[in-house]
Amino acid sequence: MAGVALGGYIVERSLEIGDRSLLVLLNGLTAAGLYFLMASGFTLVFGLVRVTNLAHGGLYLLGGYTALSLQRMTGNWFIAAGLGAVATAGLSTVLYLVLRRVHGDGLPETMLTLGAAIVMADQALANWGGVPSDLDPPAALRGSIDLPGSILLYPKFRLSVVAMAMLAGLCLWLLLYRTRLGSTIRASVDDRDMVSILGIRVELVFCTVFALAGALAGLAGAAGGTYLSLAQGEDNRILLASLIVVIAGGLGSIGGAAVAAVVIGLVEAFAQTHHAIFSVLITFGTLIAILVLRPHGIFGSQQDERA
Amino acid sequence: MESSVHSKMSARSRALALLAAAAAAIAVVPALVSDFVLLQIAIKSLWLGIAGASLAFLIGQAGLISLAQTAVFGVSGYVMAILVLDHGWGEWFAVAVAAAAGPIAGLIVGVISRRAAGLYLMMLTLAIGVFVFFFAQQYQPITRGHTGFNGFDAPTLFGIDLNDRRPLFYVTAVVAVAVVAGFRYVMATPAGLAYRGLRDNPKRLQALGYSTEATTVSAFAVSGFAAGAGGVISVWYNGAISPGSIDLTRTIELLIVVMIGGTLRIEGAFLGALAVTLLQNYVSDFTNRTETLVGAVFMVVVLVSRQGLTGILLGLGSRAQRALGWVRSRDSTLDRSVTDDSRRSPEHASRTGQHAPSQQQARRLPCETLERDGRGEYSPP
Amino acid sequence: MRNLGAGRSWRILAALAAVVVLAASCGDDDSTADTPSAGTEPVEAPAGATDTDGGTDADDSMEEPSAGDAEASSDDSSDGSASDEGGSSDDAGTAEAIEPITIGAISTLDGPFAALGDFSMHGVKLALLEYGGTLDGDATRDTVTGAEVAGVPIELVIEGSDATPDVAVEATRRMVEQDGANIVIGPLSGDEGLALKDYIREHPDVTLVNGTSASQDLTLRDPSPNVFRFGGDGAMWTFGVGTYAYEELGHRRIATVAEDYSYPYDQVGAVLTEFCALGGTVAERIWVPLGTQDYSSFVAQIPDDVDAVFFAMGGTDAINFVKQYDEFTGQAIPLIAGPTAVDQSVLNELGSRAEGLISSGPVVDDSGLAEFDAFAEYLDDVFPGQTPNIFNVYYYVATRSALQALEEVGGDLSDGSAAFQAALAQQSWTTPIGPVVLDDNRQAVVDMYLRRVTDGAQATIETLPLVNATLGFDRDAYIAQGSFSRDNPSCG
Repeated sequence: MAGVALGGYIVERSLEIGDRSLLVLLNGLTAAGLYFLMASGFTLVFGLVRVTNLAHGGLYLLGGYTALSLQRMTGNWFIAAGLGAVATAGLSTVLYLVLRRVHGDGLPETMLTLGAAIVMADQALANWGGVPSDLDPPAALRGSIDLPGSILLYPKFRLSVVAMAMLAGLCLWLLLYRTRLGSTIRASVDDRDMVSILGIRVELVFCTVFALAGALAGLAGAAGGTYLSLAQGEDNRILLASLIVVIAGGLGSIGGAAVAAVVIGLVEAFAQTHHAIFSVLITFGTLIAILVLRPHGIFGSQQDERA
Repeated sequence: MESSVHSKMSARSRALALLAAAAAAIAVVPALVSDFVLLQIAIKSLWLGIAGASLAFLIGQAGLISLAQTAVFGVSGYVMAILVLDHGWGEWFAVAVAAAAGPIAGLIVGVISRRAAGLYLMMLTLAIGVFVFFFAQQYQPITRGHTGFNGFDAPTLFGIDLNDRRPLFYVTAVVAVAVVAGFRYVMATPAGLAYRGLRDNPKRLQALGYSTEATTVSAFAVSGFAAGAGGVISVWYNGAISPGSIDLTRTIELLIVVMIGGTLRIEGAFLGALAVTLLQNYVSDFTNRTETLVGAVFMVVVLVSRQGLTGILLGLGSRAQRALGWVRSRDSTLDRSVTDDSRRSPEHASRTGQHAPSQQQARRLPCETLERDGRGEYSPP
Repeated sequence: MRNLGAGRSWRILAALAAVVVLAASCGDDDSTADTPSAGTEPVEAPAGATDTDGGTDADDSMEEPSAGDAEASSDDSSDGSASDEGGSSDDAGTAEAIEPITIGAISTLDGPFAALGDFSMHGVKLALLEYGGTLDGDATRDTVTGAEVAGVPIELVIEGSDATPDVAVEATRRMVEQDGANIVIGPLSGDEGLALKDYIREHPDVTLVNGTSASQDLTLRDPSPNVFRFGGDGAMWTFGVGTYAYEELGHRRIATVAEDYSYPYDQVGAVLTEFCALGGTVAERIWVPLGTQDYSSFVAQIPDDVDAVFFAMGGTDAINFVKQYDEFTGQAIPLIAGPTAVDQSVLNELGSRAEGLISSGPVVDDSGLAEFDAFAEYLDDVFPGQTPNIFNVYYYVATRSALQALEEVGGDLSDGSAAFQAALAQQSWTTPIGPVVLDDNRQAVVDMYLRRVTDGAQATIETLPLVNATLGFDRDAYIAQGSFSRDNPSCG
C-alpha cells in the first residue's frame, strides 16, 4: 500500500518536470556507476576478510590525485587512470600486509584502516595541496550530447562512467564465476579454513582481492576526479556514499552492491531534484529504512547474524 | 562462598579507595594547572571522556559498536540550547529535559538498530549519526542550520557561575565520577551480566530466555544517560553548538578516544580523552602534519594493544608488580573485583595479567574458548 | 609459534613507527628542504632591489641571535604552562627586557578549506616581513621571527581550525591563554567569526582583527568593542551586482543557486535586495546542501525561462558547479557569480569556463593602484607563483593595520590595549585594494569592484567607491529587515 503510494508520488513528481526526468534518471545512473566502482571492491574485501576498509575513500582520493599528476605528465587519461589504479592496488596490498598482523573480529582491523584513512588524507593534503582540481576527460569523451526536449545536454564522460561501471561489473562476474581464482575467492568467502586445508595459499588470494579492490577504488578516483573534482574531504564523502551502497546491498554481495548502487543513485538524484534541501536526509533515511526492514541489506545473508 | 564474600568486600573497599583517589585528584588538579589547562585539557578531557564512556560501555560491555553516540550527545546539547535560547526556558529545567533526552535518543537508536550486530550495527549507527548531523544542518526552523546556536551561557548553581572554570571543572568531575559509578553499578546488576552475554554469546543469552533485542535497546538507553550528560556539558564548555560539533570528524574522534583508551574498563575512555586532547593541543607544536601523527599514533596503539592505553598500563602494572615480587593471585583478585568479568572470559586474565604484552596470544584465545559460528569467525568482543 | 608471531608483530610495528616518523616529518622535510630556496630568494632580490627586501635580508643576518632567543623563550613559556601552573607571560617577562607582543593568526589549515588557510598565512607573513621579520620556513605553520614594531619584538603564533566554530575557539583560546597572544588575526569563515566574537568579548584586552570571516553580524548586530574588520562582509562583496544585472544587462527574472548556509544567504540577499528593489523578480532559489559534489540534479531545476543565474559558492563547489553547468547547459543561460566563486584563488582551476563571468568583489587584477602592483610583486617575490586573492590580501590588510596601530602607540598595550584599540579604530590608509576607513562598529567602509573574468584574471568594469555595511540603505531599516536567510528578502 505504502509502496504504491510512494510509486505514485514519484511518477507524479517526475511527470511534473517532464523531459527533465530523463536527466534525473541519467544522473542517478552516473552516480550509481561511481558508487558501484567503489562499493564492489569494498564489499569484496569485506566478504573475504570481514574488514570494513575505512581507508577505501583514501584510496579513491590518492588514486585520483596520482592519475591527475600522471595526466599532467603524459597527457593521456587512460594511461594516467591505469597507472593510478596500479598505484592504489599496491597501496591496498600494503594495507593488507599490515592488517593481517591483527587477526581479530573485525574491530581492530577496522580501526587500523581508520588510522590509515586519516594518514592518507593528510598525505594527500601534503603532496597535492588543498586547492581543488580535476582531470580532463580523454579527447574522445569530451563534450556533451543533446537531450531531447529541453535546453539541457548530457556530458559524454558521465555516460562512459556508467559504461565503465558495467564493464567492471562484467569483469568481476567473469573473474568470480568463470575462473579458478574466482572459485577460490568464493570458496574462501564461504569457508576460509577449509580452503586453506585444501592446500591453497589463502594469503595470496586475500592479497589479490585487496589489490583488486584498491585498483577499483583508484579507477573510481580517476573517474570521479574527472567528472566531479578532487579535493580535501572527498575521501570521506565518497566513503560514506559507498558505505551506504555496500550496506544497503548487503555486505559481501557484489550483486547487492550493484542493485543498491542503482537504488541509492536514483533516490539521491530524485531527492536532489525535488527536495533539494532535505536530499541528504532522504538518502540516509532510505538506507535506515532498508536496514530496519532487512538488517543485512537487500542481498545480505543471515549468516552474518550475530553468532 | 566465603571467597566470593571476600572478593565482594575487597571490591567495595577498592571502589571506595578509587573514589577517594578520584576525589583527591579532583580537589588537587585546579590548584596545580593553569586556567587554560584546566579548561581546555582537564574539562575538555572530562566531558569528552563522559561521552566516550557511553561508547566504551556499549563496545566493552555489550559488544555494540555504535557510531551514533555523537548524535545522542548532540540531541541533548541541541535540546538544551533550543529550550534556553529559542524558548526562554530556565536553565536548569532545560538541563533536566536535555539530560532526559539523552536516554530517549539512545532508546530510539537502539530500537532502530535492535536487530543489527557487529559491523552492520556500526554502519547502521553511522547512518543514524550522519542523518542527525544533516538534520541539524538542514532543518533550520528548529536547529538554526549551519550556524547553530552561539553565545550560550552556562547556568549558575547555588549562586556559583558555571561559566567560571573552577566550578565548571568540579561539576564536570562530579558528573564524570557519577557516570563511572553509574556504569559500574549497572555492570554489577543482572542487566550488566545480560550485556556481557550479548557481547560474548548472544545465542546462549537467547537460550537463557533473554531477548537480545530488548537487551540491545536497553544498553543503548543506558549509554544515552552518559552521552546526554556529555552533550550538556559540551555546550557549557563551547558556549555553542552547531552541526560542526557532531559531524563525522567528531564521530571518528569519539571512536578514537575510546579505542585509544581501551574498552576493558569504563575509565579507559577518560584516559583516551586525555590522550586525544593532549595530542590536539600540543602536537602542532612539533609537526606540520598533525593529522598524520594522530592517525599513526592511533594505528600504533591499535597494533600494540587491542585494549588501548588501559591494556598497556595494566600490562606494565602487572609486570612491575611481578618485578617487585608481588604475588600473582593478588593481582587477579584485584582485576576480578574491578571488572567483575574475569570468570566469564578466560582470556581476561591473560589480557590484563602476565601475558598482557603479547597481545597476539590474548587475541587468539577467544577462538579456542568461544563457540564458533559456521565460518570460523568468532563473535564481537 | 606464538612467540614467533609476537616477535613479527613487533618488527612490523617498528617498521610502521619508522614510516610514521617519516610521514609525519614529511611536511618538515619539505620545509627544511625548501628553506634554503626561501633564504636565497631575498639574496637574489637586492639586485632587483625593493627596499623591503633589502631590509629583510639585512635583518636576516643581524637579528639571528635575538630571533633565536625569542623562540627559546616562547618554548619555555609553553612548556611551563603545559606542565604546571607557571603563568606563561611571567616567564616571558623575565626572559626578555622588553616583553614581546604576540600576534596569533588563525585560519583553516585542516579540512576542505586547507588551501585557503595557506593563502591567508601568506598575507599575515608578508605584513610581518615588512616589519623586519624573517621566514622560519616555507610550510604554513612555520612562523616569522625577528619582526619589531617601535622597538618591541613581535612574535607570531599560527593555529589552524577545520572551519568548525568549536575548533576555532579552542585554537584561539590556545593562542590567547597559553601563548599569550595580544592580537588575533582571523578567522576565515563566517560561523567561526561569530563564535570568536563571543570568545573575544570575554577578553577585552585582546583584540580580534578579522581575516575573511564574512558574516554580517560580526560587526553589524551586537558588535564587540574589541573586534575589528578591515574588509567587507558577504553582502558588501556582492554589492552592485543586482543593480548591474537589472540596469546594464537588462535582466528581469533570475534564478539563484547557492550553498545552503549563512554566507551564501548574505550574497543572494544582497543581490536580490538591489535587484528586486528595481522591479526584478526571482524565479527560483535553489539551495544546495553543503557537501554536495554532483550539481547535475540542481542544474536540472533551473527554469528555462530566466534571464540569468546567480550562483554563490566557494572553492570546490564553485569548480564543480561551473564545470557541470557548462557541460549540462552549454551556458545557455548566462551566469553571474558570487564574490568567492570566481576569486583569484580558484580562477586557475575554473579555466576557460569562467571566462566572461560577471561578479562583484574586493580584489581585481587591473585596478592600477600602485599599492596593489607592489603587493602583487612582493607576494610573488616571497612566495613564488602566488597571486593576490581575497585571502592573502585580507589577512595582509588585517595584520598590517594592526602593526600600524601598534607602531602609532609605540607598542603600548597597557590599560587593556585601550590606546591600541583606539588607534586601530582610527586606521585609515590605502590598502592594496583601495582606501579603508572604519565605521562606529569598527567595520570597514571600502571600495568594491564590478568585474569580469578576462583572460583568466579579474578585470574592472566599474569601481564602486566606499561601500558601507548597509549597502547604502538606511541603517535602521536595513538592520530591521533581519539577517538574510533562505527566504529573506522575500522579493515580492
